[in-house]
Amino acid sequence: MRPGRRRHPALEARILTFGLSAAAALGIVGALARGGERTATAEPTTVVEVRIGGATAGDVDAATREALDAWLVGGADLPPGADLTIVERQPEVVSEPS
Amino acid sequence: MAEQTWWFVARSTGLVAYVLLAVTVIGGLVLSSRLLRRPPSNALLDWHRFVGGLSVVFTGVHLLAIYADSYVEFGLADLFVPFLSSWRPLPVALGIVALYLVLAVELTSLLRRRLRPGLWRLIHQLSLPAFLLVTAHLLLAGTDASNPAVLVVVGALLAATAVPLALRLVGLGPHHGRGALRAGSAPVRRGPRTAGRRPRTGRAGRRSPHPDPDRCPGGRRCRRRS
Repeated sequence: MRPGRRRHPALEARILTFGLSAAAALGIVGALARGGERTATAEPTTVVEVRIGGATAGDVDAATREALDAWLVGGADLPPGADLTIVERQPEVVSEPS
Repeated sequence: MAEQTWWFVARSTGLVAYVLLAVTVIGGLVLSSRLLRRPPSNALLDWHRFVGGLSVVFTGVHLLAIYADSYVEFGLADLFVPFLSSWRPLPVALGIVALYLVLAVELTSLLRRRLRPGLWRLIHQLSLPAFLLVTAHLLLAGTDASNPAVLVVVGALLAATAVPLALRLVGLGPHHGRGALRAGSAPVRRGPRTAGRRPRTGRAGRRSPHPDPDRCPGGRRCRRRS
């Protein structure tokens, strides 16, 4: 009769591997949680900045804004005196709905 | 955080499963090559099988987390039928096909003793294309594919796979000399040399089986040429 049950030859290796894998998975989850929000795909977006005369879209009067809105939806021609500046920007971190 | 927990779990377990699969494939290539002077020990073979099984477990958690996450709607069919997912169909399909290949390798390893050695070996070699498919799945579908740290890890694992593979292709192939690797069993102990002699016969006068059944095509008994 055997004096005692033999230990599995690779028990330590199994425990170590499982422990490291679980720790890695939890660590990645923690890092992602710290990083916070989902990020949009990192593709360059085109930001169109509309300038009308010397004013930007943010501080124009109501009539110009209305004309601009109409133009943006394709309902009218560009207001007289308006010029377009197209600026390529890298995207910022954007929250996506979850 | 809570509403995104499954999403984080899906990403982390996917990455860990990928690394474990890579370690399994690299380990298998090294263990079955002549890079090792001796046939691998039982403990090493056991660890190789364990890491492969652990990779499947993490893949299961990866799928479960994707199913549970509500951001991209994945039904059960989307997870298991290629090209059914509306979200990145091709990269997802690559992952699904790889999943089936890995499952085939894992199941046939568990049933190793009941299979013909040639069939087992053929299916076992599918682990390499499965690894490449998973790599493509990670790079094309993975949210973290653009993460530099992930790219470094993927590059390192691919390079680590390429080295033993290249050595095998140039001739440092599997052990066929002093004990061939038989995953799922102890290292082969060959019988006495019989080359150049007539096959030995047992006491009952029956022809004794070949000492290494892995070397017999189709698992049949081999007769040495004299």
